[in-house]
Amino acid sequence: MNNHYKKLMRKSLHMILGAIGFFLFVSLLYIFSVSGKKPVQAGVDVVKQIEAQNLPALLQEIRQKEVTEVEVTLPVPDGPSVPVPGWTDDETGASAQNGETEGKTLNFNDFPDLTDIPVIQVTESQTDAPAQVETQTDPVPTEPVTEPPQTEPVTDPIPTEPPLTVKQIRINDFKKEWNEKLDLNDVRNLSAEEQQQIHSMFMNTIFFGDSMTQAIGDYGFIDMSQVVYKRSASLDALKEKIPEVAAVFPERVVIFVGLNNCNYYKTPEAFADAFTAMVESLREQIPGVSLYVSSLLPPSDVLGSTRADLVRAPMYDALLNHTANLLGVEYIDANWIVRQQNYLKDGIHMNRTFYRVWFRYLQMLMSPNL
Amino acid sequence: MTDREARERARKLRFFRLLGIVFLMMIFLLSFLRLVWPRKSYSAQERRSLAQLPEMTTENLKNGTFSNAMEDYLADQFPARNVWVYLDELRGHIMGEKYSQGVYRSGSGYLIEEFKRKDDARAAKTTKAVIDYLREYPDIRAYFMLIPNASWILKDKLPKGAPIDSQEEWYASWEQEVRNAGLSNLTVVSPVQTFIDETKLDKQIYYRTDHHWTTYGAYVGAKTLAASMDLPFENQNWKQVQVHSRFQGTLMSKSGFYSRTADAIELYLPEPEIACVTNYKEQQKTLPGLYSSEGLAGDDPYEVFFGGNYPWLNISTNAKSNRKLLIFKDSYANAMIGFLCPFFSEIHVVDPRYYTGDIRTLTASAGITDICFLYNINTYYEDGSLSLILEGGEADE
Repeated sequence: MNNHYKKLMRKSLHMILGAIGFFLFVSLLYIFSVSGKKPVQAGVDVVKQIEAQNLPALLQEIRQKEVTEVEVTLPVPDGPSVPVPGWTDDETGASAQNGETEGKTLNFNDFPDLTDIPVIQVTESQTDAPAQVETQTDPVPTEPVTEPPQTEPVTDPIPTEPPLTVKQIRINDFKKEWNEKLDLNDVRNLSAEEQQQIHSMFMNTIFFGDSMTQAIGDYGFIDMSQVVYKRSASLDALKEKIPEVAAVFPERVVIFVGLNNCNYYKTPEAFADAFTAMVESLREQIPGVSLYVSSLLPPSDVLGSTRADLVRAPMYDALLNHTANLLGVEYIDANWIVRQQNYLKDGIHMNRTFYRVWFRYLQMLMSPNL
Repeated sequence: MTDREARERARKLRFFRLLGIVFLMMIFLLSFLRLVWPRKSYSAQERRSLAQLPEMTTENLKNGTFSNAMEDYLADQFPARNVWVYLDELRGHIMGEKYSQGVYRSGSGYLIEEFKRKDDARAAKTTKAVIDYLREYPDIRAYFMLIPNASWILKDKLPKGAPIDSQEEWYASWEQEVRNAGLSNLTVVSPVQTFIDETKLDKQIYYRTDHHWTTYGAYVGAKTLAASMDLPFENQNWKQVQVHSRFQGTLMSKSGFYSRTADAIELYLPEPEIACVTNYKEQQKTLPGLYSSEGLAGDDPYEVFFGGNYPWLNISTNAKSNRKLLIFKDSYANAMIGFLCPFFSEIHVVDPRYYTGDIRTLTASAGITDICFLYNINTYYEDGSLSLILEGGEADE
């Protein structure tokens, strides 16, 4: 009987081994015919090489091409130029085009949008908007000037200070118009056309800051993908977010921070130091970026009356302005836009109306001068 | 009982005893293997995650979800599952099974996806949305290119008598609809004849195991489109680089049919080189070039193009042109965009399946000079997301 079972066990073992053998054979077939991906190493290397290209250099190459193809149009007087006291004949629009204006360096590659061109004749106006010149001159015609300019003295009392630049005039006009509207609380939402202009202008801009910046995206003025923020963050905390900003290699970064900094930084100097550090970090990680910083707005009167620490905000703002100028960061004064009725209940953040004006102001500041 | 009968009986007895023992041993062996076999969480072959051990709660036990989950778990974690699946496929192959999950096993090692005309209305809605959208921009040149699938161009390879609806018929009716709209700025571009000619020359337009076109197919498509766009395509040279030699695409995973052929993936790089960067708008990152080595090494090597599908890409190049292209696409266009880069300074690539922005703002603000709709017929027919993002009309405040 033992023998019998031994034979049985042997036979059954053979069958099992046979089954396993068959299975192994099929697995081999599987491994050889089906499994395994085979990227070609030479090809992978080529792709990796493409990926490893230096991004700032590439962007420079791409953007350079755009800048050189853009035609620079400056206001050029059509008729014989009337010399304005204080400026020699050389300072006409023509030589400004060649970048030879005395005392002004036109550096398009650095700030292609912010050209400070001295106005030669205040009667000349080739901008679309009717320019209400605030200096002591007569109102100017709004059509493009093709007839010879007026030969009567352009300025009645000869100004002792240099005439305002086009940029300054436009800023003053803008402020006047919008100050009125803010006082009357007549600030319309952005029209479709304005929205489109803003979108195309700020395509390569990142807005960076704390909850004051967050509102820009929340209120729908710009796509959230262009807003990098951290609520209630100090400037130091924001530095950690810089890689996020750098990852997109923007051309411009607009910084807008608020009152939490008065809390974190006990003195305006500490705040200014932190700002300097952040600017350096930004410039290091995004070479060639243009930086702008908006004012640190004060708290509402109501809030300010109870918070001694926050009511010092104007001191911080003044030092921010000063530091920004030293660092070559464009300081955007937004204090004039503030109205008590446009504060949110917390007395710190601003409502939609504020941002409507703020955005329009930004757009005006950054649009290329005509 | 005679001697013979006794021997018969003994043999039968031996056989059944043997059977019994083998049976028992198999059960023990298998149970043992099941216990000790390492658990997997993801199947690269099937492109899905595998079921894990379910939690046992009274709720689960009562309503039956536990037992279902347990069954799934035991099935998914079966020892050497891939080999068994392969064995089953082998069996199917030998038995002549030619259809699985919408895919036909066809001649020359091709897997071809079927085309079923289920709901013409959805595609009609999409076409209408496109036409209405283009009407709003009469000054922008527009191009509409639908790419035929393998079920049309390679229909000779399909198994005889396969009940596939004709893409050709549907395309004819679609083209008629577009022509009836009478948009002066719209050009319908059709690569069909070129594809048929190329196929006759034995050129590979489609991948054997994937539903996409090969890069060569994309090249032919781009050539056809460039002619309508007035681009100097003939003057551009390309360098071919092979990046994959064993492409096993989506149709293989979808159907479970294993192809015994190998497809290669190639990239065509412009010569001389151009500088281009891709800005992944909603992901907030900008990367050089158009290709992703991570996508190439992943489960779906077709993702070498851009690393996959993204809602909105903005590609900037140093091309000496002021033309800016806005292209609405599915994944077919990924392979083709590289061919258009030397001719546009900016290409905005929108995938309506993921895009959440406002398309009209984009069209107006980005200074778009050309708009292109690039879809393969299968996706165009079935997808409803294009009409969704194009609806909207006037942008509201």
